[in-house]
Amino acid sequence: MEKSSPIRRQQFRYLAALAGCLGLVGCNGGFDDAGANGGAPPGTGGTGTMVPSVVGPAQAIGQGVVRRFTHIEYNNTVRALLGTTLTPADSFPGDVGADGFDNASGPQTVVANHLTAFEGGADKLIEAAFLDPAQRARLVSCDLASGNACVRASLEAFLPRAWRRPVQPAEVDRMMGLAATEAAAGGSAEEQLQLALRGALTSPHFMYRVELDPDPASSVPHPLNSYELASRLSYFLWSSMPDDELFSVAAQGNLQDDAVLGQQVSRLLADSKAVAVSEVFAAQWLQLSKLPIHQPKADVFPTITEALKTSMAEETQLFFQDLLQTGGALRSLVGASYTFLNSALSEHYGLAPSSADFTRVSVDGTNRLGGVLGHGSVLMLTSGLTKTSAVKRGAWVLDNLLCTPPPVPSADLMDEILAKQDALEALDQNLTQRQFLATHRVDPKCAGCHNLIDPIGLAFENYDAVGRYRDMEHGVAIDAAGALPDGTPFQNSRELATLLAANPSLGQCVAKRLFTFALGRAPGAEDEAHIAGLVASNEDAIASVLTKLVSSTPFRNRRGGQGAL
Amino acid sequence: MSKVNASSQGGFGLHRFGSRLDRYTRRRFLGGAGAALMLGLPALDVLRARRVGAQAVPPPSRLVCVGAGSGVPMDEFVPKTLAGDPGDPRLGIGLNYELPPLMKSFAPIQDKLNIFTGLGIDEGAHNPGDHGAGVPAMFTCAKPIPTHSNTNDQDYEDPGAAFGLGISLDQVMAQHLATQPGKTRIPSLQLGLREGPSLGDGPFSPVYLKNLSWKSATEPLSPLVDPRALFDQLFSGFDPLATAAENARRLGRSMSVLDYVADEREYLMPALSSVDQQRMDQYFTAAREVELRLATAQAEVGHAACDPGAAPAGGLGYAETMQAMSDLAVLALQCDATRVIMLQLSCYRNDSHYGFLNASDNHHSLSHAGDDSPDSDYRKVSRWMMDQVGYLFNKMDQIVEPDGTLLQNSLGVFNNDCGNGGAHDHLNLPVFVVGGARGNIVTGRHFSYPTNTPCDALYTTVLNALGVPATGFGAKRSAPLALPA
Repeated sequence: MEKSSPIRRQQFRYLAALAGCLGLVGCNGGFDDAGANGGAPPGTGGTGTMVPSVVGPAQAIGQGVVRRFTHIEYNNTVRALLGTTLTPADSFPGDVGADGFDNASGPQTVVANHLTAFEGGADKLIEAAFLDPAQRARLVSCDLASGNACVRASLEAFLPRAWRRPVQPAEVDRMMGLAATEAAAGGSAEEQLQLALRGALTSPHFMYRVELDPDPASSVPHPLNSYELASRLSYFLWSSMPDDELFSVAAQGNLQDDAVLGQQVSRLLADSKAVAVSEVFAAQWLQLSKLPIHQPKADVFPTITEALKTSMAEETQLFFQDLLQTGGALRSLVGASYTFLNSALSEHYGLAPSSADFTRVSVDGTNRLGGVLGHGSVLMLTSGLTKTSAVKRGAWVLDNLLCTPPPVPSADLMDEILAKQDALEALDQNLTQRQFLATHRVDPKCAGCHNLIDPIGLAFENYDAVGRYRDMEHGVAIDAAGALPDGTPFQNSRELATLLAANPSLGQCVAKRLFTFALGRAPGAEDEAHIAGLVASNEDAIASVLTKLVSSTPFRNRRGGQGAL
Repeated sequence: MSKVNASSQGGFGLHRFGSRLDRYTRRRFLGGAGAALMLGLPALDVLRARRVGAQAVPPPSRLVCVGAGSGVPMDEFVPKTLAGDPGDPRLGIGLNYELPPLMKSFAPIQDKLNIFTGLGIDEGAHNPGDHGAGVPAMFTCAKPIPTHSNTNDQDYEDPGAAFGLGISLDQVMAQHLATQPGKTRIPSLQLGLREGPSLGDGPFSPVYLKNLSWKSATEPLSPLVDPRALFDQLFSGFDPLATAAENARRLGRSMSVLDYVADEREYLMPALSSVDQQRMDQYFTAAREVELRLATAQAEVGHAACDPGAAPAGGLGYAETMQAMSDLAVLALQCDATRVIMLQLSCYRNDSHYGFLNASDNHHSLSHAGDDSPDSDYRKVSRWMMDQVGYLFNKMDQIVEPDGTLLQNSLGVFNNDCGNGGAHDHLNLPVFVVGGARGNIVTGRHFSYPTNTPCDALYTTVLNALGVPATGFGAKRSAPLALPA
């Protein structure tokens, strides 16, 4: 695998333990280098300030393929650009995504259906724009009776915003050529402009965030220009196009200055559009889109409605956004002492009634955990539809919070498990989750891995399959004590959450997820060193991780060079 | 085409068509625009209108592929031979078999049905990742290239790993039809019921789980999951209430836009890195392709056999979406808007929840729940899914064409990434072929083969029955499966 680095070292505190699974017959894993060597990560330092980008002798960075809009990005962009309320991307071919995020660029292949959809979307948008006086006024501010001159002037005003960069006169000329085909068919100046605008929105210069290399064949990294960097920044923090102020900063040509970039990051994070970080990044990281199709069995959990699940998703998003915008630390993701509740949720959780609208509520002195581990969304998505699943919850923590996913059983072992399934199911009716999983601890083929997974999951047994607190299961008091893979003991989920909050793997994992989302690709070997520098400790504010990511070499630079898709 | 149909009104729209065609022929004869040559621009005569209507030459046979995941209850699928069966058990052919319970909705068309047991696609076996490999292998009989390290999809992606698979059955048919005169406006349709989350299985990226139809090893064709988007694609270019001139003008505008976009290739490509060029090449090629499609378009809509009816509503539930997709698929074939359709049912994570059946979990989880009771949730969901497939093919049999029903003039192929879903069995798949391809295939049989007889052999037989001169398919390229009468 890749050469070792501090990220891997910290992960291997767990991986080394998990790798113990590999010695047994059952487990199948891909870990092949548990050794740790390598120097200190470059670029670490500071607590939340912009770290000067250390370019020096070309620090290697990975390479991604040019990025096209996801559905969300397209809809946000056209709303900002035109003022439309239409959302044409809802019916575009799906975002394939990879590594947990819809915006992965690798799988964004293009076939005819895409162009049919994009051209159709542009058609609908422009048709609607010219029927709405407010939208039309944004597109046409001269008198179209003057013909070509006004068509051209309108395009010269529109294209730099639509394509997010200055345009060449020759590009406008070609667009006027498109307008001319409408003139040849007898169309009015207004119809000519409409056709040209449709072309602008079907162009790859609109649909993609094109970035250029002075020497496309060279793999030496070079800084992005200000417009390219502005787009990377706004799509990272807003999932949308730059605003007028960011465009005018880009026009000064100095967005790469540390101070200017730092100001813009702060400004964008403080803007209401930064809600995209929780609605897109965090929602996808925590897989909140699965909530609608996760339907606990109604006869067991009759109080679970679609509205309640929507509230659960909102709780998680509001919490994440609050952490982000109030300087909340990474550790607070699992160690906070508050959450966001509306009346439906406070009732569901058995807490004092909250207001009808969401407000921030302290959970000190209650039986709720703070942070995402106490959220109904996470607790429900990591359960079955009739009962909890400690295996799912343990694996979820290892995978999503620590980036140390447990290995999957081998095919032979799966056959054995399935063969035993009937007997286990029969026993299930009367057993607690811990008793049900006893086989995992007893059978040597299972124990190696499950002794690492199950204790973590079992710590949350005080929260049922829909996230409500309970002391008992099947008449037996819940025993939530266990130990981490490295042997550190905990008495209950609260203590476990404290341990996780202090675990360096948490911060590194969040950094890795942010990198993947910000750059539209999972980090490669060349990127590892850059990720290591993003988090000094879990005391770091989440906002500072984002800021450091923006100031990092892979974010501010790109490279060409040979490579296959 | 435009010159043949030029009306007395002239129609500025038709003039636009004329100028479009002139540009194509100029480009072709001058040998310019590599994209046009790469697309294999047809000779000018095939751009002429193909007359539609009662005097028309019947279209070639059609292909409808339906793919699902997580297996079926095989004890409800494998036919039981009836006593006195005149079939030949030595050859594994059953003529008089009891229609298996899972297939009960096919009773009215049992005589047009062939059930296959023992066929396998072992390219789909990969642990972990039996669905990540099984789903894409279903209609390609090719093994997907792993894109991630071997444990799960959240690990570091190998930056050097590109995804790759192989061409799918429906696309072999579509590409053959593209070389024949009288092409349809839409080369092929890909339909699905739901988008799944962007998660993979084992070392296989979500791209493999979300797409059954592959134009080539690196070009998946994403399914439409919104019936309204499908309706738009089928009918929005042809407003039956508009005049021919208005429709032509609307088409002409779209073509001008796409022509402009495709022409930008020469300005943008030289500036890009090679990975970006590969991606952008797809974009420009697709723009040109859609432009050409529109150029061969004609007013399919508006004659008696093709009535779009009302557009489907938005926000349909899972069951309503399935029915809407089936109805539109049949309509698309009836209108001859396309002759190749791939329908993707629930496959692994793009599943839905079957609360309306009072099931306790999603289909994939149910396949591993180990509940073998006679009316387990897995059985209920599997039966419901098969009933929906039955609805689609029964509806095709109700469309009467001059030389038979739509079903008799087509082939439907059903497959699944597993037979026994709980065991991830890729070697005994629940395959059936329905319809007759105008008599080119025997029907009403149960063909029983030894375990893991290559399914690609059947696919080659299917292609040949549809008039596609294939000698092999997929990774193995086995000889066609002989189907004794």
